[in-house]
Amino acid sequence: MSDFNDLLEIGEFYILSQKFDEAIRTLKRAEKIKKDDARLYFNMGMAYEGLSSHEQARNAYRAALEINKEYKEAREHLDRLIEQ
Amino acid sequence: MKQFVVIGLGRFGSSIAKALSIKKIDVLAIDRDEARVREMEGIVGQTVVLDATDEKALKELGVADFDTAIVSMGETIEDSIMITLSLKELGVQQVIVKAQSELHAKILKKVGADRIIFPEREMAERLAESLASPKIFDFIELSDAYGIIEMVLPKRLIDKTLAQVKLREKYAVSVIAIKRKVPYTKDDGATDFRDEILIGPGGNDEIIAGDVLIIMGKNEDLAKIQKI
Repeated sequence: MSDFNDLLEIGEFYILSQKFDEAIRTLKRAEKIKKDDARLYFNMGMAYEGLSSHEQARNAYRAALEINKEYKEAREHLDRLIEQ
Repeated sequence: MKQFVVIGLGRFGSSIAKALSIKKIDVLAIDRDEARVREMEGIVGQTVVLDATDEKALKELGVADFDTAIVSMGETIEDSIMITLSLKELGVQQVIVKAQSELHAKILKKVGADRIIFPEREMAERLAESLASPKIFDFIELSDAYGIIEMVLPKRLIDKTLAQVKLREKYAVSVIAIKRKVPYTKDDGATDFRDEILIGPGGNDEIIAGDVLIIMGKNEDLAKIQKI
């Protein structure tokens, strides 16, 4: 489990460093450990959004919202991408 | 050399007549509205003020000698049906007609139109096609010939400078701005993006993953760059 949290944090670090490809690679490794984590998919959405891969970003935010309907940030990001 | 007659000089008809003339094709432009005809004087080979629903007048004008007629009547569908019928009866080889609706198109086919066009729909479909591409986010038409697109570049061109990717040399387009999402940590600790726009980037500016380039150029060059 700590592996999962570590990978999630490393993923977030990569996003903040604008290394979106590395972030996606790391988050995909985390996904292999745990698939029902809303924050994981939110972060994946962020990484794809950073790459301007809007369709994949939307899918990731939707996945986060499926796990947690109340995920405010995921909803905001998804709405923003749909408006575009 | 091919000769075209364009009947109806609204937005579509006049654009076609101009485009053909630029390609050095002989064009006769007809409209019943004198002002519209006057606007085309000097742009196309010949212009005539005439009510094209008058078959006798069309015959006297000698439209039968033209290879192709383009009928673009905006106001009433009856007029374009009548004119199409007359042109076919006079023996014009190819009659191309602008249609307003599917039903209109059906009737035009019945009276002998060789080709039906839906310019508004075709333009919309072309635009939809380019917008459906995951690389293209937006297209703004500046004029008939020029436009602006927003696009992301393929991976092989990332982490290179604008001078290295040579868009201007290869595609004759200009990168007028770069839109970049910059991540930052909000007060509550969550990560979000801030939009940064680099206006008038120079050759030394580097393109990083996720950058959206705002590119201006001729529509034909923009179409090419989309396939980059």
